[in-house]
Amino acid sequence: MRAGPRMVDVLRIGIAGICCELALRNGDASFRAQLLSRYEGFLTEEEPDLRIEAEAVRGLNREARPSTNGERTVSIFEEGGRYRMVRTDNPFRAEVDTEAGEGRLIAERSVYCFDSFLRILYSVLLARAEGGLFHGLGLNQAGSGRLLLGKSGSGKTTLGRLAGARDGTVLSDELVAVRSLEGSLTIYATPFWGEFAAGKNSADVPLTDVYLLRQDPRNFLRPVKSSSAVREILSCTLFFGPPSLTGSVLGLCFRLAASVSALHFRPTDEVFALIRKGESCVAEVSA
Amino acid sequence: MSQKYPLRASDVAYRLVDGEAILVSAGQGTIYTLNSVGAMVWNLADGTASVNQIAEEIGRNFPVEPEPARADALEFLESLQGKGILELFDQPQGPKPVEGIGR
Repeated sequence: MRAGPRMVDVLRIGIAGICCELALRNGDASFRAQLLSRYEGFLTEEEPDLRIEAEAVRGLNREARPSTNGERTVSIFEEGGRYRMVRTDNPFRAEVDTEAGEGRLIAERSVYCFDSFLRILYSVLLARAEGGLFHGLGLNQAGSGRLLLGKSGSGKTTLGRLAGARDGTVLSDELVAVRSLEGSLTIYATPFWGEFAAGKNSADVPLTDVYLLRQDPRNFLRPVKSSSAVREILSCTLFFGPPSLTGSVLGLCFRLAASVSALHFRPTDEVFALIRKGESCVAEVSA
Repeated sequence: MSQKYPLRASDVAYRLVDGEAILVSAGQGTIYTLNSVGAMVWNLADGTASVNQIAEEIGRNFPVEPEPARADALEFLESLQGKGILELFDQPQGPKPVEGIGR
C-alpha cells in the first residue's frame, strides 16, 4: 500500500482477474491496517481496470434506514456503462464508470461496509465479463475445480473445514467467482470468506463439476432436473442488477446447470472421495 | 370485447428449459417459474399477438376449449401484470429487445 504526497493511500485488489484500485482520501492508519489485513493475499501491483476514489466517513450508519424482512436494501442504476450503487443497511454510495475506468465511493468507516461494496461491485463487473459470484465452496482437487453451491446452513463451511484439513485446497468457503474465458469456465478464490479463514490467497482452477448441497445421513450423488437446477443456482447467485446484465447472469446459471449434480452428504472424509470420483449415479451410496 | 396485447417487460431475463420458463427480475430480486402453458403464453407476449391469438395457440397445443383458454390466458396475463413483469395494451406494440434469448 502506497501513500502519496496528498496523503492518499492506494489499495489494489485483484479478484478473478479484475483489478480495482481504491484510493483512500481520508483513511487513518488504523483503518488502513484493517483493510490491508482483510485483503491480504488479493493485493496486487497489476494495472487496475477501475480506479475508485474512496472516502471512509463516520456517521453514515446513523443515517442507515431500517428495513423490514424482504425489503430491498441494495439499488443499482445503470446508464450506458455508468453504475450508481446504493446500500442502506451497511451504508455506502458509489458511482462507477466502467467505460472511463473510474469511480467514487463514500462508505461508513467500516471494513464490513467496504467489503459489502466490493462484493456488489464485483457482482456487476463479473456479470459484464460473462461471470458471477456464487454462494458456495470452491475446491481445487489436483487441478480440478469443484463448485459446491449452497446458502447459509447448507454445510459448505463444515465441508470447507474438512477439505482444508485434508489435501483439498479451499478457494473460498462463502463466495466463489466464476468466469467464462475462451469458452471454458474457471472458478476463482475471493476474499469474501466465511468462518474458514484459510484460502485467503488469490487462486483459480478450471471448473469441472458443480454440486448442489443436500445434508443427508448418506453420501451419494443424484441427477437434478435442469429447471430445478437453474432455479437453485440462481438462488445461490449474488446479483442485485442492473437489469441489463440479468441475461448474462441467467446464461451463466444455465451453463453451470449443465454440469450439476445434487451432492447428498454427511460431513465426513468419504464425501471428498465421492466428489473426486465425479460420477453421478443414484446407486452409488456409501454408508 | 376489446382486445388486449401483452408485452413482456424488457428488464426481465428469461430462458425456456424442460418445457418451462424461468424468469428473473433483478430489479425485484425475484425468480418466477412458468409451467409449459405459462411458458407458451410468455413466449408469445411480444406485443404483437392478442390474447385471442395466444388462446388459439394454446388450444392448438393443449387439450383445452377456446373460451376457457382465453379466460385462463387473460387471467394469467393480468396476474403477471400485477407482478410488474408484463403490460397489457389496447393496441399492438412493436417488438422490443428482450433480455435472455440467446445469452
